[in-house]
Amino acid sequence: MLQQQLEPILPRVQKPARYTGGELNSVLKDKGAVDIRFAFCFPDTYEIGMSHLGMKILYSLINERPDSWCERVFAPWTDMEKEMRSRGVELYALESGDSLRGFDIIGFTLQYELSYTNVLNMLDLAGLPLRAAERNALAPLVIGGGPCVCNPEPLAEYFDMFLPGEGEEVVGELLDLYKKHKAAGSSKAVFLQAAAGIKGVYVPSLYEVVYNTGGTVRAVLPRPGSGAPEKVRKRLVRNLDRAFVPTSYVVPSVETVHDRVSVEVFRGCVRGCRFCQAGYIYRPVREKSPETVNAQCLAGCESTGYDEVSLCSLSTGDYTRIEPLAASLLEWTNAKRVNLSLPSLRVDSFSRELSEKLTPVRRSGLTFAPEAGTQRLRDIINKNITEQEILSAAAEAFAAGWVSVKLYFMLGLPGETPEDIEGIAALAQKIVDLYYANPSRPKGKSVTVSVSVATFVPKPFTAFQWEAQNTAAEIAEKQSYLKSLVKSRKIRLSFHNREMSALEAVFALGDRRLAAVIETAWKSGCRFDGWDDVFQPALWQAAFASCGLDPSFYANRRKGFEEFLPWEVLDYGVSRAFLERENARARRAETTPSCREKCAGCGANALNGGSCDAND
Amino acid sequence: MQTIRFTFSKTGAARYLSHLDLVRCMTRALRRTGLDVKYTEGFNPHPYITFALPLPLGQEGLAEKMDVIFIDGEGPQEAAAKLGAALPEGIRIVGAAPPVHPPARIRYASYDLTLDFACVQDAQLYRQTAVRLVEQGALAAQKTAKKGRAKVLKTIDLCEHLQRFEASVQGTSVRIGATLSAGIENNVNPFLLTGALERESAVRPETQLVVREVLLMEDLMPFS
Repeated sequence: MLQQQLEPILPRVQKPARYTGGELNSVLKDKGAVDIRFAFCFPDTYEIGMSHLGMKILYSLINERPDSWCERVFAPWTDMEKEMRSRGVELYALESGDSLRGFDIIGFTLQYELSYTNVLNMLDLAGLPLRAAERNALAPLVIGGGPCVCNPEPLAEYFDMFLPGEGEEVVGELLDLYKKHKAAGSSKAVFLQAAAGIKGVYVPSLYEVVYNTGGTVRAVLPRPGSGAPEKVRKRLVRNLDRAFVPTSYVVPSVETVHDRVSVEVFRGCVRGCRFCQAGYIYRPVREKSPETVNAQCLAGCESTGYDEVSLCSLSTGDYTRIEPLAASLLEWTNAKRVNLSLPSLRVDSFSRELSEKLTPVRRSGLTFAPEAGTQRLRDIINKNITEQEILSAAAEAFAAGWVSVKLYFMLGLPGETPEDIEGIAALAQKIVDLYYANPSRPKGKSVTVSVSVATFVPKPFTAFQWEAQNTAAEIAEKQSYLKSLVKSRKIRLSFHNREMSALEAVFALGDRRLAAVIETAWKSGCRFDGWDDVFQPALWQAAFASCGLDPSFYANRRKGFEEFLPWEVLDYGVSRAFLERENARARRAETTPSCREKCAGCGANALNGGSCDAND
Repeated sequence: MQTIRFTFSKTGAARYLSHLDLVRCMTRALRRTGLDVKYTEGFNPHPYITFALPLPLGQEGLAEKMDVIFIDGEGPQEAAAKLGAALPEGIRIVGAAPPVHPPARIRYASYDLTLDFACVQDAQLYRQTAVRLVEQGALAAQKTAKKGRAKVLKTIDLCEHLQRFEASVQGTSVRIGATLSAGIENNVNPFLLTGALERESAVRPETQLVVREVLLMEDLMPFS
């Protein structure tokens, strides 16, 4: 049936293979023989979603259960959406082709604030009411996971529950409970109340948000009698060696963003960069053993036929057993013609030697993320790399024949002054000069220093969660100032869309009242807001105005430590006291050493029975 | 070292794989088989795989040809069995043998086209128009061509490239059998033909399925 409906559509849309399914290793089951049908939704394109490791893990994990069938769903691109709507094709899962409406559980992974309109659009394309309160039956249940769940409040009205933290264990517990309640014919209310008893399950409808007169949140309180916990603590996997990892992965037919085998080497991060949400919310540090990583890399390559493996983590050079791991990988990767890639290496010499050993030939370019233009500002954000380290790394790279360097910076960081902006231009120029100071540079080749500048976005559960974001107008001014300082044509300056960053901050820091804004913007046509060619800032401005909400209340206002923050109904392990301490140190431009040198007492080890691999 | 020419079909949902997708897909499938494929030298070694004639996105192929060079001599049948088992839905190995002809010998391809219309009248009008124009021997189509580096539009007469043409109506469908120029010199995409017929008849098919049945040489014998 679906095949017939798609027949006239597919030839008219871009990259139709994104919508057909049938990829190698995709899992087909008999729908009559399973109790639970799970639609794993990624609210962005197929190419982005199929690059996501978390989805691959949970897809296989759920499909290991004989009682459940997990299928994949991605956001159709605008051309496909138009065709689907004009022909009445409901959003379907790729494996069975069945409409999402018939599923038991619809699970969204929330990776990025600017995909929220896609979430609404996908529910609507499935023919489902958007708001949880309007979906009365037990099924389909709409649940959310992923990093944005650390402040799910702007989406709270659309979801039945959120799963903060790592999903590997809680998903199984949830499916068991669901199966029991489905068999018993429980109502949704009965099930949700029971589910709130599972550790790491946040059922937003069981909480009431109390506001102060100024519009700030006074408290998020469990409704009396609901039995919901006062705070929901994120879940995590204690032992990564025993954590579920798939033995076979769906191999996408169209090229995806990260088209390779990815294997985690550890979770968490020892660095403590104060702006970095990932660096805080995945704590504590837990390492996998090199034996496990090696075996998983090999199995991944064999089941997929990929010729590239990527070791992933937030800072791969910080993996303590990288040398034994590298040795065991090199035993087979060359013979099998498998390339290794190590993203997120630091700019120290150890990392450089390592990457030269592991990836002897690829000469695509070198990327550094100083994030700020002066040492003072780098100290404020606790990005503990020095200009000297960057320059010596660049010098070595040039000596080895590289001709392009990419630098990442942010504008609008707390404590930023005009000197910091000047520092960005100066550092880029120093690198250009360094290239021409190298006598053995390739003749006739010119250097390119790409300077990519984003806007600082304050995020929940970071040391900067209280900080104000610069307004888009302020950022515009800083951008043009920086532009005026860049004189060399060897420096290629590019800016991330500042209006997108503004919106990202609003939803990262927002509360439940923003639900109306998302819905209004979506109704007026907003989709794929993270895509430059689709993003429509004017429609968002109109949506805020018509809902009577001021985006700057959320993004551009500095909050005091006394203020309750909308996401403080959740507990991600890092204590508020620690974050306050870090914020105060930032104000004094004091750095905090890496967790390996000295434990900063973030408190996240309590989630792991007091253990943290950063200081064991 | 031996070259094996695989004959494969690409049907159903797999017809939406682009040629580049197909190259990647075959590369990975070969890696999964563990067969001893010859690789290129250099910084980014990749296996020696050659497709006789890329199949446009959206079209099915029943006898597509792919050459692979193997270092170690497993027989074509064993290699075909292993490769077949490693392929995704919609791609099947239907034969394997040492190559006989060089791909430059390809001159034509034979197609089976099925076009579905909203009503019987549309189907009949489309067929009548098609038959009349082919009999008259003039059917213009615009084709992108390369002039140096630039892409230019050039007008071709499809009838000059049409070696065989037959059309019949079955209910609301028009079935066309056609042999069109193919190969490195004068490749004519059958969508050019259906596009021209759509323009001339002023009726638009709801769906069109294009199946490339076989690649042919100058003497209309199958390329193998």
